[in-house]
Amino acid sequence: MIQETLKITGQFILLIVLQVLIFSNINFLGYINPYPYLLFVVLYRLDSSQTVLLFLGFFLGLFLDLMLQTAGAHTIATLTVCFLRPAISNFSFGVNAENSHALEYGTKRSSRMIFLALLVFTHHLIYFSITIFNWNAISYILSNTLYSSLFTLSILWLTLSLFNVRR
Amino acid sequence: MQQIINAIFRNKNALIYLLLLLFAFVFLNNRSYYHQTRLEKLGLKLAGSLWNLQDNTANYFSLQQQNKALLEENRKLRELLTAHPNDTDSISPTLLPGFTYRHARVIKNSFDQARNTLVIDKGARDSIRGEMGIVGPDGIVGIVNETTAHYASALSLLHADVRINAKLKTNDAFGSLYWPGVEANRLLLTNISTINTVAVGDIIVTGGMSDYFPKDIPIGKVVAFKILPSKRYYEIEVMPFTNFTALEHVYILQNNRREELQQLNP
Repeated sequence: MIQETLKITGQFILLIVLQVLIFSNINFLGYINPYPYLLFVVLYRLDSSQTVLLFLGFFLGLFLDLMLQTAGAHTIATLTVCFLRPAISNFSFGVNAENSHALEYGTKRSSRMIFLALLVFTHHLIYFSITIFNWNAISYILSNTLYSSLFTLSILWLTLSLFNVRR
Repeated sequence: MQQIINAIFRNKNALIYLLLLLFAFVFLNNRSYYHQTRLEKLGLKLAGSLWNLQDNTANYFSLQQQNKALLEENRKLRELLTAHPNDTDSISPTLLPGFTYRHARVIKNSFDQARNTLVIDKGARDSIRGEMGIVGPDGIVGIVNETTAHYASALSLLHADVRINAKLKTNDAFGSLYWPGVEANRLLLTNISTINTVAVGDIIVTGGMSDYFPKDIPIGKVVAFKILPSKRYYEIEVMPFTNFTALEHVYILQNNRREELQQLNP
């Protein structure tokens, strides 16, 4: 239990620091940035309390908003993704949704990919909708969402493969 | 009772989510001016259609009274027409040169706050833009602030931050008019120098030194005045001709020479 809490705290701080110091300054092709802090929402055990996840997600977004000078977009997007996570994992893993190791073994690779993609895409769509907040710029929102999602997804997939020794 | 508590526990995640989402939106609204105006606009859009419905129903019951008010206004305009028989310009659509008039109805009006606003049923689709002046049948009413496709919100003259350039009709002495708060039928005219004479009953009209209103639109009359301790300026209490607690039909003024004016005075 204590070990788990320590692990979560470590992830929380490390991901915020990495996001603020590195990933938000990449500006690939001038404007595309990945948001791999979502790894926190991905790695949070699927069988743990969702209420705690909601609060953690809220504060994760809030700290990022405060440090990245964005108004409230990270908070709203992360919070919503945390809220939708059970539905997304049910959709992608089916009966294995409650399996705490669903992301490491015992599930198909395609299911994991769908899980990640849905999570990331939802988050980015909400994030860009809130930051731009203008119905007339819908094409800009969608293109930004698509490119950033691909960027984030590849980073998340690589990170997961790197630390996943068991096949 | 037990069932209600059970229902709350069953849906606690959804409730917590909604609560935190509300916090996040408040945070968004407070931190970013852009989002604040966008959210205000959204609110105006939603509330506008609601108020319109309410006003449409309520309107039926005051038709007779409104008819009377319109007849009265007509009478005044005819009087003006006979006073200037050769001035045919006064019945053309642009009553005063350089200004276009558009009719609108007030669908929401407040007069009991420190910063009062109105909502009218014409918006960007009817060529209403921000910073246009609004006049009623009896005198000036306010200034347009924000517009959506079908509605516009305006700062009432009874708004703590609105200041209007006004003058005494008798001797053209300029001052600045504002609402000190509290009473809906008391305005203050300040910065009129004591070298001018003022009398109770004098008419106050717009000065024409702002882009919003042409000059000589009636505002109100002097009910009391005093000389400030510095002995340099008057402080004049003005009773507006417009009854701000019963606004219905108003006209939006578009200044056609605004761009030209702003080029001279950036």
